[in-house]
Formats: sequence, structure tokens, C-alpha cells
Amino acid sequence: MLIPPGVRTRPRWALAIIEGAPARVVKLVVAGHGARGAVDPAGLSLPPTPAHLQACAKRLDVGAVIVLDAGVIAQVAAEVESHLTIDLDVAAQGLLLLRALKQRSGKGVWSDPPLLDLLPAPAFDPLQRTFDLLIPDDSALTAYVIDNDRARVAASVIAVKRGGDINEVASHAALGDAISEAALARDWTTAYKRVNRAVGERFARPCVSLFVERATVDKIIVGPPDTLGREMNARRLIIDPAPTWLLGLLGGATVAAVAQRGAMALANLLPQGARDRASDLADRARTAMKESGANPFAMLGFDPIELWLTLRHYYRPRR
Amino acid sequence: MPLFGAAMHYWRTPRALWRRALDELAGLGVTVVESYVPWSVHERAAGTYDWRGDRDLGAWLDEVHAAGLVAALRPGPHINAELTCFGFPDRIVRDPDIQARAAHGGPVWLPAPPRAFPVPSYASARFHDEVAGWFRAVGEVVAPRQWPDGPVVALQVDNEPQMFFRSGAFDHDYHPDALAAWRAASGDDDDAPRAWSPENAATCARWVRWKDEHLADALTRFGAALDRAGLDGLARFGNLPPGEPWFTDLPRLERAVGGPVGIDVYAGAGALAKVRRRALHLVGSTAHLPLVPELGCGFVPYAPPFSDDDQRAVTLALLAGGVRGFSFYMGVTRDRWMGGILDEEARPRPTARWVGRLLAALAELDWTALRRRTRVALVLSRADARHGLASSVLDPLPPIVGELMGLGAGGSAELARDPAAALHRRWFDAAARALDLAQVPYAIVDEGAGLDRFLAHDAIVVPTLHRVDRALWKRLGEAAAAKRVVVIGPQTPSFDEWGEPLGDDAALPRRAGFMRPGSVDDLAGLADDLAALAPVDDWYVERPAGILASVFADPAGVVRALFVTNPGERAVTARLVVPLATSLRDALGEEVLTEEQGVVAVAVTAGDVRMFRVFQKK
Repeated sequence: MLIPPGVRTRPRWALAIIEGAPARVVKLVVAGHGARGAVDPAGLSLPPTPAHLQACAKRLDVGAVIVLDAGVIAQVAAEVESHLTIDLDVAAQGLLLLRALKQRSGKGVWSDPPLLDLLPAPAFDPLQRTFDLLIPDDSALTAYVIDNDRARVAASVIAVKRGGDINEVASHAALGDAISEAALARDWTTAYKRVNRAVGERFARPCVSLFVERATVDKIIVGPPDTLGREMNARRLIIDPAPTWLLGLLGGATVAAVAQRGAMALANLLPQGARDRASDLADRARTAMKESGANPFAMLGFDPIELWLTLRHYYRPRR
Repeated sequence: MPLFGAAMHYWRTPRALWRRALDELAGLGVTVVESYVPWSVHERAAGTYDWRGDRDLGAWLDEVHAAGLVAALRPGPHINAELTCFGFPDRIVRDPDIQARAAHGGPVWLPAPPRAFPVPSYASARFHDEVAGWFRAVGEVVAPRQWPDGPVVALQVDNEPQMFFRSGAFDHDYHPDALAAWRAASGDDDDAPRAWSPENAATCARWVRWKDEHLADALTRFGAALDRAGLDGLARFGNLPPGEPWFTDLPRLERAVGGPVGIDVYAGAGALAKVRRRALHLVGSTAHLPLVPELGCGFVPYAPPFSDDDQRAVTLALLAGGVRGFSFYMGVTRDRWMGGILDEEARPRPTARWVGRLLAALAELDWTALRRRTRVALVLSRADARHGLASSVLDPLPPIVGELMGLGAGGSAELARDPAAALHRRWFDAAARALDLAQVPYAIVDEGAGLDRFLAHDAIVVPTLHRVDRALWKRLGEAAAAKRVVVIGPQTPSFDEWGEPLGDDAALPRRAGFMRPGSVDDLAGLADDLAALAPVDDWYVERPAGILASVFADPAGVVRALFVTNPGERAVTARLVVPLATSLRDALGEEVLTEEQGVVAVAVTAGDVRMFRVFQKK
């Protein structure tokens, strides 16, 4: 469900390997749906600038193009392996790899879309501390997505945090004997309370429990930032319990979205100077909020909400 | 004894539930229960082992015996079982003398949730000493419980031996003991190659094959250690991880193990064509029982889930390919696993319904006595694949990465700098698809299989380019001399697997036929050509194209079972031509189909397989 529609409907992409100075393309392959395997290396023009990558994607009719220097895989493997220790968990391992790749972005690794440039690679400690701040130990996170016709549960996850780690994960199958899937899907806006009770009895006290219909998920993913709040108000999405930090974020997003819509409506009526002053004011307000410590993601060094606002571009239908 | 098994991890199942679980499995028709015996679960400190409580292997085996079942054990040393560090004790994986070495000189880390760990070198003398100590401890518990005094009938030697899935040509193992073994084998004082070099292509390809030999040597040493532990009276078997057969030398590993080496299969119904092809390779190449030691029943929580329908279809696809023994993994669900035949309380899950019906049908059919009739062998040769692996632009990543990318018929070979690798894979794929299109029943025979596997067929099809394995080429000559039809092409090979001229061995097999150069893109034409290799069967699918019928006969030649496979994405009703007076009974349901004017209409949903018992009036 979280895969961008473009990838879902056209999961075809290209990989090019280049080497030498001046660089030449030694291999260009088209992978995925309707794969063609190795194709004429002339399909990619060098150097691998954004324009050349986009032209290659269009020429080969693929959703993404990745270009690697021939030696970069061995270099990244050696670098990551030199930093691994036996007590690192999966998240820490993934961050090591992401950092090694990001260091080579534009210097051995190129892609369209430029995901490596967009994705942050925070250090593991702040990530862990933020996780600890947001989700207390001995609590459960629950998420259910219900099919639009309310016939069944499309997806469900119950995750328990203990000792700083997610150490138990289950699906609704673990509660199926207590709450039938069909009954829950049919009346989920009230039956969710029984799910929370069962999670508390069998796993841990629920900390965040989210229940939503599938169509609403799609709407939230591509809609304006306050869609989440509006869908909650309309009871098409239920987050219960919801921690204070989450409610604060939702409130902030709603205020920002209302302000943005208002500003856009006024924009046509105001002179350019007034527009610039309003925009500057909005930026300063956002910065102040971030620096006040109220933002629960302050330790991360990046704002996941802003990251999402960037990434969701890839979820919108392509023209 | 039929090998219809199921996995139960005794240490993960409360002892109080052991007997109930075993009785439930036996009641469903399971004949063999298997379990890993994990080193890290039992070792408290070097040389000190805990066999108490849920870890009491001896008591569990006694319960297996009392339940009327037999046991197959898998003491490793590699276990996986979704255990942290794959069942190796921490002290083993942390020991620098034991750790495998990557081309960059450092340890080789395997990312396996929840941690990554440095894998051991299978060449390390110290590692083999430690393994021998572990096997001695296992032997003390198991030796008194060998059949007929106890339930233990078989041991698996190691688990999914494939360099810990890091099978890139120049990834590892550069452990000093491995390098010493390479120098001894190659007769070359130089270091092993650490990257592809076209000028040194033969040495690079030899390194790839040497790693197969290295694995086989390690399995031989593990087997000898089991012998010394007092476990020499048990049957031995091995298993290969899911993946393409191009990268594992199954016949060589069977010789090292001294028993069948099967394939592990975890797949969904979307992969039926691949599953079938793996089964055809196993059945065509093994010198023993075609066995699937791990047949996915449930799934690991961090991988894509498989439905019950997926697992039933995959099981039937393997049987349709000729697999004669299997073990469901898992029989009893447990931590780090979703699904299985029984739940964690040892109660039957919905899966148990079709499993019970299937096992009953197989028992009634005397399944292990039945054989699929195949007249044509399609030979899987690795000379080009080895050069492809050595010259992969993704090295040191393993070829499975290239396979998962979905690169079409050439698979990971599309990433090779050596162009013959992908072209050869495309020709092999075209020949297989053409044989399917022509409805010619065939087996896939590995180039390393014994001559008897070749001579078991009337015709042998070998896609060839400019190089061929010299031993295979000689074997084809022997097969032709024994009046088998040999078809090669599109090129006549003139070089051996190392790029040396075939010289005195260059003569073509007698009366060799050729595939036409353009046939790789003309499947219908190739199918017409290959159809001439076998007489028209009494059983075939009249329409639609793409539906496959597999017929199994008893030793007297009487057809007893039929499978109809629909690997496509749309439901169909197939018109199946059968001999007169034939009726088909669904082996897993109630439906009975009777021929009308020699035709039976069989409905098959998308990505599914149906199994029928066959009845013919005389």
C-alpha cells in the first residue's frame, strides 16, 4: 500500500554501470515488468546529469534510472563491513549502508528520481532517542487498514516495544479468535475499541492505535497536510489512543494548511511586497516552532513531515 | 518408506505439547518429523551443553518414537532457523581464526534479522575442529536413538551450503586456509583472483568452480565428523537454498554428502513456472530420491506472505515435476514464523485440511513408486554461466540480486560482461519453453549428472555456443554412441570451459542435430523442430496453449496420477485428450471427471495446479 502508484503500475527501471575516464557505459539493463535485459548502452548519454538520466528514462520507458560506477559496489561493501559489529540491529545496519551510498551520490551513484539526495541518514543514537521519546517502552503500536467495502481487514500490524526495540510483531491473526475479522471490518469505527482491549491483554498497553479505510489512506498520502486532521474529524480515520505529540503535530499541520490556503486565496489580491512579507512571516513561524523544542523530531536533524511533503510528489499520478 | 515430512522445532515447542503435536502430525499422514539441532541453543560454554527441559533432544526423540514416527535431524553446523547468528554460538562467529575473509580482507557479514554476523570460513581448520566437538555432543544423545533402537533415520549435512548466500564470484572466501587449499588445487602459487579480468578469464572461471569444490570438500569433512561421532549408520541428505540451478553443482554436492541433495522451495503461485523448472532439474539430475527438504508452509514474518492457496499450488507443482519426497517447513508454528500445519498450541490450522487430504492421496497412490514419463533431456551446462558469474558487473553482490531484479530470460547473466552467459541462458529458456509448447515431457539434466541420467532419455537437447564443458562434450559423444539423439546449437563449440581449444575432443557427437540460429526468437518453429524428438503422447492438452499436463505411471506402466498446471494469470477450462474409458478423481476434492469421446474438460484457476487420481476401465 505504501508503494508509489507509479512503481505499482509500471515497475520497470533501468540500471547502468559505467567505468573508466572518460566514463563509458559498460552495461545498461532494463529490469522489472516487461524486462528486456541488456540493451544498447548508447541508451544513456554521459555524464549522468539529471537531464541525461531523465532522457534515458523516457527513451527506455522506465520509472527510474540508477547509474553506478563499476567499482562502487565493492567500495561500499568494504566500507559498510568495516563498521559493522555484532550488536548492531537492522536499523543501524541500514543507516550505515545509506550513509555510505549518500557519500557517493553524484560521485559514483546517480539516480532519477534522486532519492539518495532526498533521504536523510541520521546517526543511529538520535534516531533511537527520538523513538524512545515518542514511543514508551512496554507499549504497543497498532495499525489497521480496512477494505473500502468493509468486507475484510486489508492489512494489520501490532508491534510491541520493549527495551528500546520492537521485539514482537503480529497481525490481526493473533486476535482473530477474540474478534472476527469480518465483524471488525464491518463495524470498525466502534469495534476498534475491542481490538485495543485485546492488544492490551495479549501484548501491551496500546500507545498509538490507528484504524483507517484504504481509500482514506490514498487520500491522505496525496492530499494537503491537513487531510489527516480532516479525515479524523470525519471519523474516516481513527487514532485512539493518540499521544500528545501526535495531536500537536496534527494541529500544527491543520493550522499551516489553513494558512497556506488562505494565503493562496489572498495572493491574487495582494501586491508582491505584501506576499513576500507574508511568506517570510510564515517561514519564521515554522523555524520558531522547530527551535522551540516542541517538535518531537528535533533530535533527528531533519523534519519527517517536511520529508514526507517532498516524497509524496512521487505518489501523485504521473502525466 | 515414503518421505512425507514436517518440521517441528522441539526447543521452540513447550515440552508438554510435544506428544500432542506429534500425534496430530502422524494423524495427518506425516511419516517423518524433522528438526534442526541448533548449536547455539544447546551450548552454554565451550564444551558444555544443556539438554534439559524444552531442549531435551533425547526425550523429544523418545516421544517421536512412541508416536510411531521417524526422525530426520539437522545438526548444522549452519542452521538458520531464523535464529540470531544462524545457530552459531557467539564465541564461534567472533573468533577471527574462524571468520571467512572477503576480498577486501575483512570479515564477511551476513545481514540476517535481527542482527548481522560474521560468517565462518568452511576452510578454517579451527572451525572444523569446533564442529567436530559439537557433533560429538550431538552423537552422545542421538547415537543410542538410531533406527531401529530409536526413531532417527537420517541426518542432514549442513544447511543450504552456498557460501552463506554471498555467492558473488569475488566476494569471499579469502581465509588463509581457503587460499592454501586454492593454491594446492590450482597448482598456482599466486593469490586467488579478487576481481574479474578478461586477460585472466580462465583463472577467474576456475576460481568460481573451485568454490563449488571447496563447499563439497567442507561437506565431506562434516560427514566424516558425523561418522566419528558415532552417527555413521544413518542416511545422509542435503539441501540447496531457493534459487536458480545455474549456481550450484548439485551432483558434486550429492557425491560429497553421500545421499540426496534436495532443493528448498519458498514461493507463491506467481512463480509456478520457476518452481516447476527447479523440480525438473532436481528430478533429472539427482542420483537419489528427488527431495524437497524444506517446502514452505508458512513464512518468515519479514518476507512477503504466502497464502494457503499459494502453498498448495506450489506443493502440487513440485509433485507435478516429479518430486517424490518433501518436508513441510513448518509442521508446528513457532516464534519468528507465521503459519504452518499446526498452531503453537499444536492444534490443526486450516492448512491441515489440504495437507491431510494430499498425504492420504499420496499414500493411496503409492506415490514414491510412480514415475513421470520423460523421453527428452534438456541439459543444463554451466560453462557459460560460470564466466557470467565471474564477469558480473554487480560483483561482489550475489547472483540472486540479479535474479530478483527481473531481467527476463537471461536472468542475472544479463549483467555479465561475457556476452555468451546471457545468450546461453536465453537459448536454454527458449528450448524449455519450446518443449512445453510442443508438450514434450522432458527432464532437465545437470551437466555433472552421471551418464545413466543422460541415457535414461531417447533424445538429449544441449544449447551450445562457442564453449562447452569438456567432460559434458565427451559424455554426449558416449550417449550418441549408445544411439541417443543429441541436439546441439546454435553454435558448434570449439573451446572447453576454460577457453582452451577442444582439440582432439572436438568431434561432434554422432548424427548430432542442430537448433537453427534464429530459433531463439521463433518459439513456434523451435517447438515444431523439438516435437519430432518424441512420439505424440496419449495424454495432452488440446487447448488452450500454455496449460501443462504431467502424467505419472506405476512400475507396470499404468497411469495412476495426472496433474494439470495453469501457470498463467487467467482461469481456464482446458480440453485434455485422454485414452478412452478414463475417469479422473480430484485428489484433494470430490470432483469426478469422465472422458467424452476421448476428451476431459478440466477447469483450473489462475496460477494453480490440479491433481487427479486416474482410473481406466480395461
